[in-house]
Amino acid sequence: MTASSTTGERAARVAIGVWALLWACNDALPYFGGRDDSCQTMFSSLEWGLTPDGRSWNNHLVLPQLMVFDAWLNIELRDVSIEGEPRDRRERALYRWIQRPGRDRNIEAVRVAVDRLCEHHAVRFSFRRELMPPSAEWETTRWTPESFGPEIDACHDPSVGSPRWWVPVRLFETDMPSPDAPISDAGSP
Amino acid sequence: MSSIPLAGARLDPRLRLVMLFLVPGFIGHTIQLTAEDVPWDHGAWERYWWTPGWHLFVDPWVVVAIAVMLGLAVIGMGGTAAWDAPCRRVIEPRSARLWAMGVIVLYAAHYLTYPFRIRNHMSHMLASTGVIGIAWLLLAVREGRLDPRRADRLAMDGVALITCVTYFFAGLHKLNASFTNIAVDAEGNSIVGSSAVDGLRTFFLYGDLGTHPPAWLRYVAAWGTIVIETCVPVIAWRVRRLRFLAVSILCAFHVPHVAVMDVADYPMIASSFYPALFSRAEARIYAPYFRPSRWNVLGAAVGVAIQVWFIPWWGRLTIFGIFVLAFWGWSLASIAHAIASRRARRGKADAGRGRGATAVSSKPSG
Repeated sequence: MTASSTTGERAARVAIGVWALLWACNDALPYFGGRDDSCQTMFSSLEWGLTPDGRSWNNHLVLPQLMVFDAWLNIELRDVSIEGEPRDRRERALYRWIQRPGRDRNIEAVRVAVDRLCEHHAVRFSFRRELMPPSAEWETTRWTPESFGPEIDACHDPSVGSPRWWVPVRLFETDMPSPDAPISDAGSP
Repeated sequence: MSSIPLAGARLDPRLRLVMLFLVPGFIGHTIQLTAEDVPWDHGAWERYWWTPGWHLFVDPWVVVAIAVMLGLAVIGMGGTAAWDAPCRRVIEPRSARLWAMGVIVLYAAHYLTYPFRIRNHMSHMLASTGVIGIAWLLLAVREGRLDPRRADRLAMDGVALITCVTYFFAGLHKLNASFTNIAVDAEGNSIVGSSAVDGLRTFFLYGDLGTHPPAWLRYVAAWGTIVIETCVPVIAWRVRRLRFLAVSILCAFHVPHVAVMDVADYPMIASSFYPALFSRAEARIYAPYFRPSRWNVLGAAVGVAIQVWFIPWWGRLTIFGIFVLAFWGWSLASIAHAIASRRARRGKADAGRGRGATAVSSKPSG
């Protein structure tokens, strides 16, 4: 084996190690609130969230939870108003989705929808976060939901109007039935 | 890249098997995505617009075009890998490595523009095919040539590592209070939604094995899953003597997923990368035994019988599931045949040497 080939092989091995490390980081994202889709949590019964007093929790026996990202968060919208009529098929879809009652929406999906709608419309709503209590308390102590905040101009509120475009793919379910929604609203969109 | 020569160009037998096995893996991928996301459905077109991701930067037809080109590249990779013709250069139409590079690049594009849910198998596939591309690319760039033997060996080491990391995290996530809680209600369902308990009960129900799996078996299902996923792939990769047993355990572990959960795509794709857990020498020895024999026909028949026995309903992946279990039965029986044949030959050789030694010792001296 020549010296140059040794160098090439060594470089390749380092790159493989870095790639595997990145892959491990991807699979560790649930513990940082970063991902649920496609990080090997399938059929794992792993749960996580925030308590009403702001503590991160999960049901893992060993690993702690540290919510670095907010991409996991679902929010409930109220009093959604969009100025003007939808201009095309894409906007009609976004109108319908963001105004549909009885759904909790992933905050990143809301940001994407708001960002697109705000190109031609003013969007206003109030919202509250859907915090998840530890599942052990789920059955016994139904937590008090957060109260809705004041109505906001979503187009100028970066917390709900600016998508994280550096994230290339969907990381969480975009929406799901609200826990308080009547059964008739619980279907998929 | 076209000027980069290939010195001796046949594929590493493990890589060749990975390329061949990925063809049905992609079929499973396609069935699952088209069946669940139904891209031609009106609702899917609407979801496209509020799902976060880079697909929003391209027109929908680009997403479709990437997927179609990926399908063509997979067909090309499968065909050239089956043929495995010797090539002098990387860029030759009959070079399986060229088609594989096409698959790797297009798969990354497919992943980054997929407008709906990214499945576990998709990230696993991205990581595994990506590591092959990284190994080849770095060697080619640093050395100005691609020594296939070393390039493929590095690629297979990388795939084995990715496989171990993937399974490890799948097991690690399950080490939680819900998954390991085996308590059930009167009907036998988990009271905390443990996938292990509910999955085992489903397996029992559809297999006519009863309605209430015993407590000890629920323990085995929960903790056995964690132990298998965190440890067995590493054992398969690093412990030669236990390799076949470990790979058999991995396949058996996935049988319920195929048989009663209608998710045959993931197990097929995961098993497509199992050849990387073997050594090059083992793959060379085992490969000829994959030709039809009584062993592997029987193995495939057992696989089909298991799936037919457990079919819960005719799901979208049921027929594919029959293929997957037949394929595993065929493959494991072929390897078992190879091991048994070698042992038999070694036994005969030992016996021959023993007779020779006896003959020598019984020779009258002087």
